[in-house]
Amino acid sequence: MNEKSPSLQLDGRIHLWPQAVAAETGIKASSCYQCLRCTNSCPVSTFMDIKPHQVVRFVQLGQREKLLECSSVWVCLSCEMCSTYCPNEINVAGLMNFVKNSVVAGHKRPAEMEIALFHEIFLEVLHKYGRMNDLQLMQRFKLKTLLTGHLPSYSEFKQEMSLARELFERGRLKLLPERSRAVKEIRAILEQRRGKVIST
Amino acid sequence: MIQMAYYPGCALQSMSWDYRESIKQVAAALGLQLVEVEEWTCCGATAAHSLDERMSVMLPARNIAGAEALGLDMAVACPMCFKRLALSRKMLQEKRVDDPWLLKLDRNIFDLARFLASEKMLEKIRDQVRRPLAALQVVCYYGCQVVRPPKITGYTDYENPRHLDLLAAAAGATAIDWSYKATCCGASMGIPKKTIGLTLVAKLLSAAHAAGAQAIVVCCPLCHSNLDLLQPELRAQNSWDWELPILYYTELLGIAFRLRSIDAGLASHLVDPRPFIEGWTVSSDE
Ligand code: SF4
Ligand code: SF4
Repeated sequence: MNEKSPSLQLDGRIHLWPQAVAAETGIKASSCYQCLRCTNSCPVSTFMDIKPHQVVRFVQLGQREKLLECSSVWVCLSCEMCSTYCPNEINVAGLMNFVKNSVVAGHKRPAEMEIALFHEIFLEVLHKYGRMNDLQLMQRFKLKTLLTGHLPSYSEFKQEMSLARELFERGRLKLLPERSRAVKEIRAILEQRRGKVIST
Repeated sequence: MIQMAYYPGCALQSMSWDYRESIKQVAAALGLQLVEVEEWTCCGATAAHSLDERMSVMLPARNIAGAEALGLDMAVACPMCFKRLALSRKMLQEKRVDDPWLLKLDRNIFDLARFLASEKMLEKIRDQVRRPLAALQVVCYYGCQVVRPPKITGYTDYENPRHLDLLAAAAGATAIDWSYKATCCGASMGIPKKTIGLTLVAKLLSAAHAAGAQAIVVCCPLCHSNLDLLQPELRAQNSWDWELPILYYTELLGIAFRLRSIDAGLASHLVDPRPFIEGWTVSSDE
């Protein structure tokens, strides 16, 4: 995507970003008539600053900066309710995802740092082993969030420790991570990705 | 003997080994041979597409190549992996991404639960039931990944999926209708944004309880963890005087088949289903 593409200008100039989004994703935000079915079907719309139908509207209006800074795209669960029920078959979840991808590709700071870091650490574990391991993921995530200044409250900490103990006692935590011998192929794919989550 | 390529997915190799064990035991009882895709790798789950969609299509493609090398259709245990693999296959078919593996894409990808609910497998399942769970009422919870978007999964019954209900019925149990079959449980936010998970899971559990369910049957390791592991916290928060065992469909079948070998898996749940099992069978059938 072109970094310099214009966003909404109220001066009668042509707005290129919406067309660029349609060209890159194949998703036609322009067919949206703001019926709100996407937002009404979304299980987490109450947690969102910009609701799904507004995300679509902002794409139509070329409000790129607003979208890159919003937290809702990170909160999105990719549950595909919105895309499934849109009467105009607009892939709303795909737009949400496109915005996330754009934040990362443009090296911008994600509005929901912990969620973005969680994804980043997931890929870090994948890069190392080729497979996921719950314990590795949790440990690395906790460490990273501590280092970036997130201190859990005492009650949060207590809750987490008691769950961890329970899981351990019930044999749910696998201490030795599994490795796939095909990890090299995975690394090649991971290393071709665009951008990285910026955490500072 | 039916043979299929098998993609278990990472969750089953670590925290959700109870699901893996129950699949293994039930498949053996049914004469279904699951051949693991050699050196399979992670599908990329939510993380890969959130950060770079293109990468998320390439990651599963490697595993499709592995199944093709076996020359078999592939059964996928985890709905998240199923969706990522199915999506990757579709993108490759439409030539939207490069294909360094030169895939033929002539083999199918099945969601394991749906495969088991096919008529020929249901017949085998009914033959294996040693202990019909005739006194058990369940709700079946499909989650969000395995049914949507219908364009990818190919399911026409995405509003009211039935395959887990059919499996529960084959085990002798009654599957109650409820409105939350395919509502998302928020598991992907479970660690970085726990409040979302807690809110969605509280809604699901109370709806299941209100519907009169004694257990929830699931097909997704992420849903299972979310619904099972959050229960102690939610029970304390909401002063619930009830708890709901969360069972994989394969565990439900294993119980009805009287497979002792799945007991260790059942014991690893936070809400241990074992004390309830006696009450789920009708004594005259014993
Ligand atoms: S459901 Fe579709 S048409 Fe309706 S507001 Fe959402 S995106 Fe627009
Ligand atoms: S995919 Fe995202 S935006 Fe769409 S309904 Fe699900 S959580 Fe809401």
